[in-house]
Amino acid sequence: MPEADVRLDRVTKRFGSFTAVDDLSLEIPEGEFFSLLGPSGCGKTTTLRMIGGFEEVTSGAIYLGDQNVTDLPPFKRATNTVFQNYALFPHLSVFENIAFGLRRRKTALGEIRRQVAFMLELVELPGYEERRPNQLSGGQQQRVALARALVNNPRVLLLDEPLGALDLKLRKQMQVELKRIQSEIGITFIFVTHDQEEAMTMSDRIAVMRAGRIEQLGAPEELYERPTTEFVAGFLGVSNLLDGEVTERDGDMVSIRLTNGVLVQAPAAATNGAAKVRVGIRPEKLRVVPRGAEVTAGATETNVLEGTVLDASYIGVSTQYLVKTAEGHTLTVYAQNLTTSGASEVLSDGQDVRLSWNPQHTFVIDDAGRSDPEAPMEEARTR
Amino acid sequence: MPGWLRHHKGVVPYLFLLPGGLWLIVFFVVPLLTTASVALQEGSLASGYRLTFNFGIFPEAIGRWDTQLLRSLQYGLIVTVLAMLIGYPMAYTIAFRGGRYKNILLLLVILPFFTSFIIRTISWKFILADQGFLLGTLKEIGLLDQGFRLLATPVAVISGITYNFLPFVVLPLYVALERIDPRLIEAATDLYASRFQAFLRVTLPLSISGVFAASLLSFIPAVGDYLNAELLGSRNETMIGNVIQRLFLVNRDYPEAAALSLILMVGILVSIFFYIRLLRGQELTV
Amino acid sequence: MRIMKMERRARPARAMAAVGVTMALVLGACGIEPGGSNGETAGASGGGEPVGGGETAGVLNFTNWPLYIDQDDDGNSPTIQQFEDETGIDVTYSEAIQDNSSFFGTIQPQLQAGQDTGHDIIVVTDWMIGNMIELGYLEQIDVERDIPNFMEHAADKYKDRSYDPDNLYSVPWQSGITGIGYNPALVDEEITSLAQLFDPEFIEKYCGQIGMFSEMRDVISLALLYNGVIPEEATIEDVEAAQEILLEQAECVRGYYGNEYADDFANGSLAITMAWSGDVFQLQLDNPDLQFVVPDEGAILWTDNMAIPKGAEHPNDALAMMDYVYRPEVAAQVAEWVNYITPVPGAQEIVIQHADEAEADGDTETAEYLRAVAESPLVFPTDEMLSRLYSYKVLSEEEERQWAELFQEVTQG
Repeated sequence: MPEADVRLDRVTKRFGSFTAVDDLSLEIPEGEFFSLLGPSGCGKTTTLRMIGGFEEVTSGAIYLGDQNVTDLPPFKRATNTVFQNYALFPHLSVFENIAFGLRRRKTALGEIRRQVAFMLELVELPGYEERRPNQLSGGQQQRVALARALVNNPRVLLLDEPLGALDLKLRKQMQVELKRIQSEIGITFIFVTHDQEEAMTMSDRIAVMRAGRIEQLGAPEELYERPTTEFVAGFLGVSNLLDGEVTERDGDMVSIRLTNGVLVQAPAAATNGAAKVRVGIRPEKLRVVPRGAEVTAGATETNVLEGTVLDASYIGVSTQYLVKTAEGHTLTVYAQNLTTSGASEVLSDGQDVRLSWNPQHTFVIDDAGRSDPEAPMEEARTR
Repeated sequence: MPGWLRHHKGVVPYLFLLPGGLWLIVFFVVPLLTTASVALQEGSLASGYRLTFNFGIFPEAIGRWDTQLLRSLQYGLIVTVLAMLIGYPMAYTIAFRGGRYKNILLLLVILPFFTSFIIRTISWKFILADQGFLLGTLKEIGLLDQGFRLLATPVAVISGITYNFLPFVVLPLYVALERIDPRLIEAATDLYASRFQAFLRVTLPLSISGVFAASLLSFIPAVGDYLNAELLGSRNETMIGNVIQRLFLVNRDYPEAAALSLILMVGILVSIFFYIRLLRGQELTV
Repeated sequence: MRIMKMERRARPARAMAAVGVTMALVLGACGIEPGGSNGETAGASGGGEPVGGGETAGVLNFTNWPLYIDQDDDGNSPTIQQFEDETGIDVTYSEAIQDNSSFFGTIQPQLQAGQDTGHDIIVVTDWMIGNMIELGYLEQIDVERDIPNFMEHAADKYKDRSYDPDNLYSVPWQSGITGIGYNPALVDEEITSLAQLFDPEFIEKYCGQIGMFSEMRDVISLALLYNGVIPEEATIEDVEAAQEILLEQAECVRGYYGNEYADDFANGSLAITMAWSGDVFQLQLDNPDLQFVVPDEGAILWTDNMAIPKGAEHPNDALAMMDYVYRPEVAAQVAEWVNYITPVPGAQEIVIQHADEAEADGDTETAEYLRAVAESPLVFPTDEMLSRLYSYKVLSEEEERQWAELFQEVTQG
């Protein structure tokens, strides 16, 4: 790992008696697209604002490279920010908005012109120099905000939910755009979002935050495939969780006895040695067949559960089933609609079925970290 | 909605304008025309007034009261600048730092309005009296010369007017400042502007509509004010309002009083015209 | 027993202080018809029939200046109450008159239209009586028939006045002197002369501590007297010369005051000021050092008069009241309270009598006060003093315009 570009050392921020950020440490290497992900109130924006210098830290230190910037005001930090709702200066033209930082640093006018033109090119808005912000669409304002920050060639670009105000289609488009620009100019991006899909699409690494702490930090696929806490599992997509106990460790695999007595296998790498655990499976990893139907020979889905279809909803690319196990657990299953005659493939309500999955797709959560699973799950669904 | 209205929906906005329009006609247009007519009459109460279109009254009145006209405009200007210097930081603090005390602070700003204008000004007279508790005490402890006085000086008159119109300055400035998204100021500091530069480049231009409204709301009544000069000033601080008041009520010289009123109005309009020209570079609409 | 409280100052608002012109005044000014245009101006000619000689109607609307009649602790006037008890006339006493000009403005439209003003007795200053007589706005009265007490008890001086020579339209209510007040604590020498108000040397010495009035007639009259001109005989040239004097003085004048001069005089802001006699008498009760002088060159004796506006509904009741207040005991009762000059010299004896009664009752405070009233030349002026007092000139409309214009240049130039 190259030298950290941004480093937070045991940073705490309190507002009165409320702790917004709690003893948080973090290192972000140069050139990384790093996301802070979490529900509102988790401290992600406060963390970003402390890096930008808009909030003072209560304790701890912040470094940009090897410079301690903890006590520097924003205008003395080599960071620039793209604000939520952009915060473009309504009284200035697009040109003057972008030139604002350059002018404050007494850049020569010719140079300003050259750089603003370059930036407008980069964000694909050439010719918009004289427009006022209120004459631009949301997406265009977003690009101007980006150009206004990037033109200063910051060491780190901070983005505070920059896509939140855009409609879905534009948001998808801007996600791609942002990623392109970041790889083009190669500076560190710290991106704050509550949208897990957005974070996963763009980020090199993601820190999932909760109640002022980092719950889990890693690459998107790592967080998705191997969440270590129920909160992360729930926040990044839908997951099925079943209580169990580790009964046997056998090389790469462990055996876990679920509460219904069924034995399932999971990769040893997914466990941390605790005995009481929760077993997790993503809905799309589950394979559902009518009970008694033949299992394909040599199938890898050796973990098996039995249940009854509670509900089946056809949603185009897949069919979503709610399956109730004998013990009363309800599992969500996404079955891809592989054949054209989709309807005939759909299982009906009340049908007895057999669920199976590959043990490698199992993740294991230490039951000690168990918490109210509903809240974050709800959050993830409603977003 | 009655049937006929449903068929003439375009009429509705005009109906809404009607009460205000009538009000303006009865209490502004008619008196204005009356004033203009009186200015052009000649005569006296006993012998009657006749409309003689005596336009000579205007140069005559200006010639006689030029000092007071200019003094009024000058005082109005000083009052406006002073009120702005005092009111802007007040409005700024309430808007950006008021927090949950905002409403209480605003209430305090308008609290003086709960007492009458005259009472407030008379209390100034009391406070500033030569041997009053302010000057008297300072003289007692030797900080001021015995002969020192504030009453009957321009300082007293200008201070009095400034005080009386300060809320008119604070409120529109507050409204303009309160609308400014604090993230714009953060954005400016993020873009290498110091706090002062952020104020100069962002806060001030964005509050310019408030500055404009506030300065008109202080300048116009300040120029026409006479109570402060009457109570706190002497003949050397006589403003045009005092002259008009005396002409109207004491001398009962209605034509000259009316003519001066019109001249004052035109003087204010011309001043405002130049002021708008001055501000035109700025954005008045944001 | 009468208990006089010092804070209960009779200080009729004599000067232009009221603010706010009535719509009627402005609109009245727009009218093209001249006032008294009917040509029926009773004028000074003495023609026309006096009102009165009939039965009272039992109602009287008496309109006066504020604090210009006796008041008990409940704010009622014993004088009025006694009158009501005696005559059965129901009196509505109001204090609506703040100054001559603006009060005139409020009743002028009705008078011009020949309508009842709602007032049966008004009290206005002598020159305004003169103006209103000229405009035909006052009812004629017959003092010999209807106001016998006036004939019997009024001082002779009040029976021959330039503005209403034979009391055909009015009888005095109270008089006062416009002279000089000074504060010995702030002035080195004794003040005896108008020269000490107008001489450059003196002005410089007390620059900024000199008070003048905003009442045109008072100020110009004093300047005329300083120049040796009797106000009633002043020509426009004399007034122009007086304006010169006033303009020279103006730079050092603290203010051109209405009633509020008394505050600045009392609180030490003014060393020397024009003053009204009744006020200074009141101020002396708090600060005995304050002095009022009738200067050697002379001073102004003004008189506020009762008159019946044209078209008044209850003239007989009005005349009954006029006669009543000329009883010496009634005049004394009013004088004890308002401290201006009563037109009934006989009141002095009664005040002394009241003082003796108070003393006998052991109320020395009241006795002392009443004695001060009876002995004060400000309430009962000596003949020597009266010989140096002059009246305002009754101005024609043209003169009034010229004087006002000249005077405004002084106060607001």
